[in-house]
Amino acid sequence: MNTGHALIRFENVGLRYGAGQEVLRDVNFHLHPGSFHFLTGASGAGKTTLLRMLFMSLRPTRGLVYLFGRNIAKNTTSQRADLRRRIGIVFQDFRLLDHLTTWENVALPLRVMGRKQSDYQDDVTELLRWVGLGDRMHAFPAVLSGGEKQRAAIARAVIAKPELLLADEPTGNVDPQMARRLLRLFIELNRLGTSIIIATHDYQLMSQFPAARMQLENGRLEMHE
Amino acid sequence: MSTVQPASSLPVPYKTRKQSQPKYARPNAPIVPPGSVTGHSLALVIAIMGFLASITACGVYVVFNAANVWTNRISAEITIQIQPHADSSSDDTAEIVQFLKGQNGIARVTPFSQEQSLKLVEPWIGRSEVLKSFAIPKLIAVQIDMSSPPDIATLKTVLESKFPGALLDDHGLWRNEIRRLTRLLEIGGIGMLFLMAMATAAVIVAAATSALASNREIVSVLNLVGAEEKFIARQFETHFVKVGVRAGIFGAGLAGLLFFCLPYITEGISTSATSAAEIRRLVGAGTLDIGGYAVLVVVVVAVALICKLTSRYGVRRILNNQNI
Ligand SMILES: Nc1ncnc2c1ncn2[C@@H]1O[C@H](COP(=O)(O)OP(=O)(O)O)[C@@H](O)[C@H]1O
Ligand SMILES: [Mg+2]
Repeated sequence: MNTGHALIRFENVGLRYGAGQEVLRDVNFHLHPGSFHFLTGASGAGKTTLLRMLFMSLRPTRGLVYLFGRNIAKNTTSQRADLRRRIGIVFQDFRLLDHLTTWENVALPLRVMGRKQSDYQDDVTELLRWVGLGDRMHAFPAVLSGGEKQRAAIARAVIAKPELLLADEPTGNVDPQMARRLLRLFIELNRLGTSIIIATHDYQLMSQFPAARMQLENGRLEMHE
Repeated sequence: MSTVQPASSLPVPYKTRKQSQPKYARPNAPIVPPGSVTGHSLALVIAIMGFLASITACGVYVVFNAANVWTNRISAEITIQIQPHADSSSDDTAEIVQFLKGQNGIARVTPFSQEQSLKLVEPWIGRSEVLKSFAIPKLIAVQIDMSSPPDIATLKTVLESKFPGALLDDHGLWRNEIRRLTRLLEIGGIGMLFLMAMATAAVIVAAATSALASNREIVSVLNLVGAEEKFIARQFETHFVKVGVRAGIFGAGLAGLLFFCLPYITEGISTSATSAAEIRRLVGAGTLDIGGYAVLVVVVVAVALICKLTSRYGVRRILNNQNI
């Protein structure tokens, strides 16, 4: 098995919260650059937990995680920030900043990279129009609906054209039509080279695109290529 | 079941379309809201520190300047005292004046009459006819040509051996005394400034800690979008620098105003016109010259720098200790 240039590699990874039972155990897999995966499993199966480990906001309690060929346990804070700028993530709870407008929230990753506003403002506006937030750009998150927040969170995750996109139930709050539209966005991103992992238990969504599936059950991961 | 086809023309940023767009962002909208970082009490503390630091620094500066003027004035002049002989009424004054005028490096020789000598001590002793009967030493003030000063030590030995009863005073004792005093004031002033800087830094570190705590969600989101520690620290730092500059200017400005008004204040406080004049003669009017105002500017810059560096240090230390 050649995992030499794997984008992600998990080796015997286990995770427990505090002193509880292992939520994930003996997780072994690797993903190649440019792949597209649905991560499925019942509620509470550990999808969010796995994504958080991938995003380095949760350390595995055992085993090794490699990202972009690097053992993430050995990262300094600055290296971790560096890796995170190559990853886009959509949180289940969105995590938008309340005092910034939708537009400013979406532009945040670019601002953090030190890019000039005049260089990216057209991109941000166009992307927001595409996700149907064209007339909500100057609104603050407090007045957005759940679906609107979700789309803003997705826009923020993809604005910097990440190499890896992690999305946690990204269509949980939108109608099927918008879900299809968002899926198209992910597919287009993938076509342009971004690796995608979408955690979802929306079978209707999964049926719309023939992607490989990662199935979580009883703390173990099964790959269905 | 329909399968979604990749969109042929997706108007996402991967395709650039040049057209001017309306602006949906306030230019440089602060990522960390200013109100959540620094409060009025912090500004007040910094302003007070800036005020006290300005008073201290300018006070040292004024005293230092006055001391320099004194010592220069004093070094440019020596005094010859002629003790009256108890037995004789003979007077060497004229001879001594003659002798001094013959020396190199002497600009002017002014013998004081008894009348003038009495006038000198009048502010301390008062005017009284009785004094005239006392044997008051005669004085000769000698102005030295500072461009080619004579060797005072040699002059002293020659003069004193030639004219017994004559004493040459080069005011060295005074000069040293003044130097010692100003050095003491300087050290004390610097020590106080140091303490104020430490107190300011401590207050800012405490404020930075609570600012981070109340903005935990923002910090965590910034971490999640891959912000460097430096970037996060800067979001806080800018607010601290703003407060530092404003409060510093306020404090230093108030101190400057106080120094500006000092002559009127001393006049108002002192009981007699002469004592006010006396003070002014000794330490100057107390007002600041250009250098004094430069000291105020330095204080403002120093306050801003302390705010910048300690808030950066405080924030980064906390971020470093947080693992996620
Ligand atoms: N912060 C946490 N502390 C303790 N237990 C947690 C925490 N987060 C999740 N869990 C537990 O871990 C398991 C997996 O949760 P999660 O990864 O959120 O599942 P999913 O996203 O698939 O619904 C659940 O049993 C949940 O109760
Ligand atoms: Mg979840």
